[in-house]
Amino acid sequence: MKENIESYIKKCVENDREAQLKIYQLFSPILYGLCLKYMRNEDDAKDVFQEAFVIAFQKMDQFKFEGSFEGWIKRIFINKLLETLKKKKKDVFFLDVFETEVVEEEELELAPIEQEKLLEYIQELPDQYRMVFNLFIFEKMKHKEISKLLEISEGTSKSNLNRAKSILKKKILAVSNSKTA
Amino acid sequence: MKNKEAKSIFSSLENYSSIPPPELWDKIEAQLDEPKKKKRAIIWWSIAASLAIGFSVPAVLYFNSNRGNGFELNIESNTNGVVLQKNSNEKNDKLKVNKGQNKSLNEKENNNDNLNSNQVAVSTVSNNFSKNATRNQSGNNGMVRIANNKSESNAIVSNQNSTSVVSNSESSEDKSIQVTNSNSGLSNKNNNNSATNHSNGIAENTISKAASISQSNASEKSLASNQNSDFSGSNNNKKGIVDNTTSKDSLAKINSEVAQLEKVLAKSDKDKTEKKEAPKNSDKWSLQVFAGVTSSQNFNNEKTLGNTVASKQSSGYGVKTNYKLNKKWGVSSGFKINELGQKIAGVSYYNNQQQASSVAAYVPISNTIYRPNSSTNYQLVAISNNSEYLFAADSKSNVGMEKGNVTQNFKYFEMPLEVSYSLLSKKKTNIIMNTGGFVGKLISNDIALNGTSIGENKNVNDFVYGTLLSSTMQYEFLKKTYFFIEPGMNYYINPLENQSFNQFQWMFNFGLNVKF
Repeated sequence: MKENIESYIKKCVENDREAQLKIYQLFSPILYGLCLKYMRNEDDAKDVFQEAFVIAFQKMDQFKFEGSFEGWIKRIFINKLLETLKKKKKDVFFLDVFETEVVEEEELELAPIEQEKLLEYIQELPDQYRMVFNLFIFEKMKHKEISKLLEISEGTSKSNLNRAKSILKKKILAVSNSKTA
Repeated sequence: MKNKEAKSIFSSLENYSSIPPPELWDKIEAQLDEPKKKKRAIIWWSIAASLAIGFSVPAVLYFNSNRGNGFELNIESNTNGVVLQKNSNEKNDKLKVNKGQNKSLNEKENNNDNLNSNQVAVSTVSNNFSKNATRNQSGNNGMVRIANNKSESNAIVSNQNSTSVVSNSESSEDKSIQVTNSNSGLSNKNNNNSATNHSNGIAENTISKAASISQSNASEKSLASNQNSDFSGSNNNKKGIVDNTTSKDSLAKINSEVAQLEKVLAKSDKDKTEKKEAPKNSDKWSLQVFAGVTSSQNFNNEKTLGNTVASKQSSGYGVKTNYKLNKKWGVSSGFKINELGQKIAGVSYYNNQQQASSVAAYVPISNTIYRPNSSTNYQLVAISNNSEYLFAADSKSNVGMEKGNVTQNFKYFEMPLEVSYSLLSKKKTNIIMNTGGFVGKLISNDIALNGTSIGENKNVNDFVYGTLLSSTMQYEFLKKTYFFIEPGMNYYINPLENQSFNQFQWMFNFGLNVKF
């Protein structure tokens, strides 16, 4: 499989359409899922998905076969997603740390919630919270890395994550309560 | 919710995947088929425009200043003063040759009675059709090529029958365009389909964007109300599930809590927007401190005192502030200490101190020019304010005088005004093109003979004007602090009156740029 991908990548560099389609078929589900997590709705996700895939194909010659291809292409998508979110909303801003109330919270006992519902809640988050939340929870990035990437302070990153979690908690609790009731 | 807890709740979404709609691949494919990005073309156009402006302004000024020099030369040539040499009418000769060639070609075309003349005519037609081929490249299919061939053969036939090549080529060009259009319309079904898809895509995008705008507007107005409406939506969907009063109460309670939270957030967000906008604005300013080396060049092979002027290396330094008008454009100004210089080797000179008895033999005919009283025909000029040193106007014709090397340096306090355009801005690296003008005030003026200062140049202008073109490449090595290198060129319009001087200057600056 790995060798196959390598040969597809090499052919993609030569603009081989069949190889490009193969790569698309292999990685499009995970990458489209990624776009859905970062963007507010499906239409925006489609736009970025399309643009990012074109960029990935155009930059395929820069892949040095040193790490995983999935990681490489995901990085391109995340960069494009963040760039779009920053561009789309000129007024994207991040709350500063002094506004944060970092409170130790109790463990929650929550009923299981469907994937689609969770995704919906993430999409409903304000852009700035969603960016930080995705990078921290799914990309496993540290606040230091997030702050560099988004050009914000570490405190702001922490504060935005707390806000995001707070909103999500309320929504999940609401569903949980309604199920248990 | 703790981080661990959040991670476990959302772990199911970690590798979340979803099959994209099938039409997306068609769109990506269509985009991959498109020629290179327009962005790249814009960059190249902007480089070309900057270079064109940067070169044309000095060129225009140079030719204008040469006209002035010509007048001075006429005066000075009567007295065999400072000499500038100009080229002869090579261009005219070339033009004549071209005209002659054209004439012979025309004659050949008109005769049109042998093989050679047919060849000429055919080549004209093929040139015309190479234009056709270029225009039709976008079609890029076999049918288009056939159309070209057809029209080409038509043109050749009609050429044999008539005398007007131009009118034939024009008419056949029209034909070929018509044929091409009809062919592409018929044969390129796939292309048409993809075009239709593309247009659909655009329509969809437009709608989606409009939708997102309305969404974002709504969210800007009131986050709280937006969230509430979302919740009421979810409540509606769950009419069947939420049917007992306790859950309704708890839901209402949670909803009100969420609404309160959102209100607080919306308020604090609004406050923060104002706070955040201020630093963004302040980021627009930057301060550059730089130093560098320059080389004054004899761009036009000009001569002074009968000898060719040589280049001279010097140095400069300064401070500049830049204000970013937008993402791409900026303006900058500041001050700079810069030196313009030149060297003249093998200059014949007369030292008044050493040959005091002979000085009376020279009669001053102007402030700068002296003529010998005797029968000798050479003249002397005083370029410095030190009257003890007189230089031969033409160093080659003077025998028996001392020979030496003259070095001249003018130091200016300059104030540039530049417009900058960012060609590339990638992570920590920026490439910027700068062009503009400057005004300089003379602060130091020195003539040295064989390395020893003999005084100041008499002909120098106190104020100098010029244009500049440079390219800044900078790298952010600390937060908001860049190291940059800046190769460029300066053109000085009027450094001296009545004397040739290096006006063109290469420069290479390096320094630090701090944004604030």
